[in-house]
Amino acid sequence: MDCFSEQTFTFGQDRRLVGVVALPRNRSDSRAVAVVILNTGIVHRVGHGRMYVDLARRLATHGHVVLRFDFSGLGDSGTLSDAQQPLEAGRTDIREAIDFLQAQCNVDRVVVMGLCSGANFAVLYGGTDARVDGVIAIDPLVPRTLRYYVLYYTWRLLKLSTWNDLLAGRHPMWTKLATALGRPQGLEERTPSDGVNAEIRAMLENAYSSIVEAKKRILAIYTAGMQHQHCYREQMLDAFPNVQFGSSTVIEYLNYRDHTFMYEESRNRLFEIVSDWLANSGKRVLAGERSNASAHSEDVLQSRKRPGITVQVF
Amino acid sequence: MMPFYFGSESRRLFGVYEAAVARPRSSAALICYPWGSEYIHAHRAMRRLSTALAGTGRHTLRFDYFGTGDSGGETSEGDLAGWREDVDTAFDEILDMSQASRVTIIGLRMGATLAAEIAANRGRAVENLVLWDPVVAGSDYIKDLHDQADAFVRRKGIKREPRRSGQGGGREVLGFCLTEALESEIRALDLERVVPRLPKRTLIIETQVASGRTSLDEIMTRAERLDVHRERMESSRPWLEDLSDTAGAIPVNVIEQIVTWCG
Repeated sequence: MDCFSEQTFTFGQDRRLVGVVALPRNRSDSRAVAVVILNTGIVHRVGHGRMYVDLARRLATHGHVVLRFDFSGLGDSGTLSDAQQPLEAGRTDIREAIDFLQAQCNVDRVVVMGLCSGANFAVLYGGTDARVDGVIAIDPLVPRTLRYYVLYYTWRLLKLSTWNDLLAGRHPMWTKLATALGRPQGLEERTPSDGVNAEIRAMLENAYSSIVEAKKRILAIYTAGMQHQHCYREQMLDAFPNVQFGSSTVIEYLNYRDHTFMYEESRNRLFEIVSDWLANSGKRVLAGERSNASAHSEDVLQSRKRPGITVQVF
Repeated sequence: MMPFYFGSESRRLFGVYEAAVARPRSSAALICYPWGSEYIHAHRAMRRLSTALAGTGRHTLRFDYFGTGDSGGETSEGDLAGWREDVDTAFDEILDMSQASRVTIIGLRMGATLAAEIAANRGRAVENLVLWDPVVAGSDYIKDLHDQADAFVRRKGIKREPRRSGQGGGREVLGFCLTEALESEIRALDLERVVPRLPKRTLIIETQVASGRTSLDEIMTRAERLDVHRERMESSRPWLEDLSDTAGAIPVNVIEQIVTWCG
């Protein structure tokens, strides 16, 4: 017999939200935090390669109650009756999901987890709800930094394909040159844009600050599959210098060029990291343990020598 | 909309039942999903189709095969023989839930081929059958899947390793494991075998010209089934990832065509 059971529920205002809860058969460890998994983009709660079904079951086997649900209007969930902006609607959905878990499954602490847009929602929500103990953000949006550009363009220059494209006339540089010379553009512009505007950067910075000031934990996982946006492990620290990230923050950089975890190997590695981190989530970080801004990177960047994880070196 | 589990303890299936919004007809509808990444991408279009059918008075059920989506079972436990049984189980479930006397079955891609097989065995209990870009020949489909997976790894600059034999072997295809056993079963899929027994009210939607060796035209001619209604339509393909959205598009024109044809 499995060590977990699964039930499906509708909940929230008008019971519009659809979710599946994985429940451990034996909830003897009452300290085990519950996990709420958010949608990746507009893909329904199953996740790419069914990754969230596997993850939820594995975590339930380790004693965690896990809810996977669809945001309003995604997957099988209905839409909100009032016209909320997407960001506000997402916050309402997450709050209602936690309300439901609290009422239905006797849960008082949760970790909110997501990939890509789901990670951004997790970060933006994490600091606003006292019931949230921590946030797992996989490939969340992070502004590019000076070091990013140096590493990224050095890497591009060292790539054989860059030189092949240059010689074959396919490189975006030729397009730029053609534009500058007033000729018609024949090729698509491929240079990365700046990505994060000032308003969004401030919003994210405030969100991270709220999380760390409330002494909540952060597990940030970056993959090498988003090199147009991030390309080194410490980028989050450099991008948000005003946030007092301390020992409550763990950053992992996975050297898989696979943003949506399309391979069993990368999914297994992700499950391992998340399980390990959750196993320690009962520990709250005390104020005295947190480091100051000038020393934070030493605390956070404890390099873990494990297969599949490296600080990205170009 | 009612999500629920059905089937047996050892083979729990996840389904979503949508009750008819308009005055219920005597016919309900059963939707059969595609497999693998095609299922992930097509989920939104399948939901839209389900809602549209409920809007015209059909109680509708769509469900995940064992080892897929929210249903029980590991991904590596999926097998075609079991999925045929799952479609049968779901067919009985929608009859029971809706109290309808007949069922309209609609399938997309591999789900269409499974739907055709079940419809051929269910006789008069099937009111309509809709095959949306069905897999005509399993071997062509397998080739297509591997081509897509190879293109993906080339784009990413990564290696595609075989799976361990202890875990069913085979290879991964765009996030899903295609075990040796499953690949072998899918290779044997052959729509031609069931074409002679397709219900009279069958619609085949073709939004792409099959790239494989087996032509639907030849099959229909050989089987003398020129009575089967076929629609060739220009449309987006919901089972493929639209890169800007990371999921499939919703081809409204195809959904409208299906709902209209079903009446």
